Amino acid sequence: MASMRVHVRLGEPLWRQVNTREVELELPSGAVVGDMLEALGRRYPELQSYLVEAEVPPTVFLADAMADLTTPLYDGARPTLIWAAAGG
Amino acid sequence: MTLESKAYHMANCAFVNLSSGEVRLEQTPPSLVRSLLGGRGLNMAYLAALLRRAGGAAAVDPLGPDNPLIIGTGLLSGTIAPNAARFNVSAKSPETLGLGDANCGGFFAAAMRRAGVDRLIVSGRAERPSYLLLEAGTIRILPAEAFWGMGVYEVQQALKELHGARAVAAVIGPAGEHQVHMAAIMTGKKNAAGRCGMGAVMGSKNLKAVVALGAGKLPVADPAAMRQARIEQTAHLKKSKVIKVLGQLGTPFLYDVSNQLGAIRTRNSQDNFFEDSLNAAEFEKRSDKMLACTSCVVHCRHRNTLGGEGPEYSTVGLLGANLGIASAEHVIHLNNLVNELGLDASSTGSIIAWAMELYQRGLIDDELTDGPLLWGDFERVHELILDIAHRRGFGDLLAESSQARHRLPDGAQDYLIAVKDLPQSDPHDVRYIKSFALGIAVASRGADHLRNRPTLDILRLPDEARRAIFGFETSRDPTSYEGKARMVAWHDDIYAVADCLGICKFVTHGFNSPHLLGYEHFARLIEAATGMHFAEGELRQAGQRVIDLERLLNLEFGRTRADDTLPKRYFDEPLPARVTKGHRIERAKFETMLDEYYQARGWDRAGRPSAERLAELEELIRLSAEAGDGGQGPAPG
Ligand code: SF4
Repeated sequence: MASMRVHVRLGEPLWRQVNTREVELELPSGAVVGDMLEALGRRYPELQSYLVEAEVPPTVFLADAMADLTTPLYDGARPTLIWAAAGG
Repeated sequence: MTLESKAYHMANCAFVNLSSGEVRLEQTPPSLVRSLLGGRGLNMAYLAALLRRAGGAAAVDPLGPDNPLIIGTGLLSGTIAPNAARFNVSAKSPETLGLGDANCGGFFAAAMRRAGVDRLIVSGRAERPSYLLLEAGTIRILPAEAFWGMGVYEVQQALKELHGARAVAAVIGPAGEHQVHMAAIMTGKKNAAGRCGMGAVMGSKNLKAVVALGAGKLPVADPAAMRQARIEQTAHLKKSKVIKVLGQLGTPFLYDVSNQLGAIRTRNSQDNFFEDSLNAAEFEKRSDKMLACTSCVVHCRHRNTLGGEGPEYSTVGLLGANLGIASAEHVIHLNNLVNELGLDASSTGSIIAWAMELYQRGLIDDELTDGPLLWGDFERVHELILDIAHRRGFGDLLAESSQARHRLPDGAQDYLIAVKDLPQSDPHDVRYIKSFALGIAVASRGADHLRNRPTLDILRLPDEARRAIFGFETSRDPTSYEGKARMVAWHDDIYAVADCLGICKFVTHGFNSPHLLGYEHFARLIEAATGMHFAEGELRQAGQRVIDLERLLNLEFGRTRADDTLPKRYFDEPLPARVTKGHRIERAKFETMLDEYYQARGWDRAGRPSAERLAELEELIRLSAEAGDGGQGPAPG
């Protein structure tokens, strides 16, 4: 099956769980953002609780837009994953 | 003058007239406590009563002797309730000429209550520099000439040398002494009652410090129930990832979130993203410890290796990106400088950025500014902050904060990022998330996120989750205007209650997480501390009462619906880049959202509470006035 490569930028505080700010993932073609989060969780179990927990669900930006779980990915995509707390 | 109190009580209220030297300690009427709890709520009732007595809110000179300076601890402050560390300082604001109120953490609130005073109301003006010493229900007015001119931490150290290590002080620095409109009242190295120029009001009274010599434990109604509530609520909080992350990283991690979104105020909000060099990791390299306020279970504050504490996210944004300063080390220097001078970091960063844009646009020139005023010029900013605090040269003009617009060319106002003349508190550009925008437009003290920010709106939580939290429908889309008014009103209420109790927002339900302390937790703590029982719904009603009281005060200051608005730029200029690109606030939709907000609050289209509510508030103000009289009344200055 054809595949694609995406480069995920991990924002605060997610990158600290895996000690890297950028992760390259190989995903099957046709993959969507939800597939990417699952793949990330499989590769990095320490990130898993940030990816599924309802308290602060992760927010994904793709091509300068907010994506949701069904947003399609493409080869060479550079999504950013943040944990969208806000405050003072 | 010394006054012996009969005993420790909940809600001891001390009246000090610095002109006459009169000092009295009164009990706050229980019905007032029941209705407004403490902290911010009770402060507002006394403020309304005392401003009326002094000739009316609109007429009182904020830097004159008749403006009361009210330092009020929360109903739970100083107890072992989680994060019950805070107090509010309220007065007419010299920065906004309206409702002045600032909330502060650290150790002072607990010390003040342990010294037998829950609320301190200072009127008049001392003939010479003075400070107040609170101990075991006695209050003394003492000379402070030796301390005048000292920096914030310097004077606290000197006071500790004089009164011993248990002396905890709330002080002003040089900025307060010079009545700079954005001067803060500070305690510790960084804790600031920063907003609305309360430090200038203290300086206008010739009051350098309030020193509390607390002793013993605060009596609570049911110590065992209190301990149990503390244990269970701490365990509950510790399950939250938000709490864990705040405790590990502090608030600077929020910079990256706003920056990636394209919502970090940059160069006076002309841009919306900035350098990664201000990310949290850069500040961690220069942090050697995490600190906490009294009874805190979070520990969110960094001690920095340059001799200070912080910076918080707000300071990173407003003294960093907003001024075009990209070096974390420079931002820490500026953070430590404003704290030692006793300046509000938010207003200082906003006002300097405003001046820089006016200079960039040629609206002001070297002749006025005493030389170039360029983005990213750390040395110039450093020098200008010192000039502001000491009111020298161009700094004297900027020391007026928003009021400087009266002395600047036409058009300058268009670039001021302020609401009701209060420069925006936080570095988040609100053009994208509409609920954030409405929040700063309607916040009672002006552009401030800590009155009502619906932080969860950024999360796009599923509909069921949102319904479960708020109890009504809202749009999941942060850029939608739908249902956002009710959401802001919901946050108004619970944040007001937290402020009345002295509890930190970081553990308050709705602030970054739906898994923190809500009304039911608060009610349990109140009952254990005071014996007062609040049935379901009653605490939220207390929060609503506080918001309505602040509205009444704002009406008395002459504020109208037209003041519930946003900086011009937020309406007229779309955000330039990243996810938020193209977003701005549409005026017609904003007005509809404002109508809905007034409706949610039970106000009419002009923003006036109902006749029934106004009558209830009048009764509370009357009770406060009577308590203030104490049979004699604190003579106006
Ligand atoms: S969370 Fe931070 S600001 Fe709040 S009480 Fe704790 S240390 Fe103080």
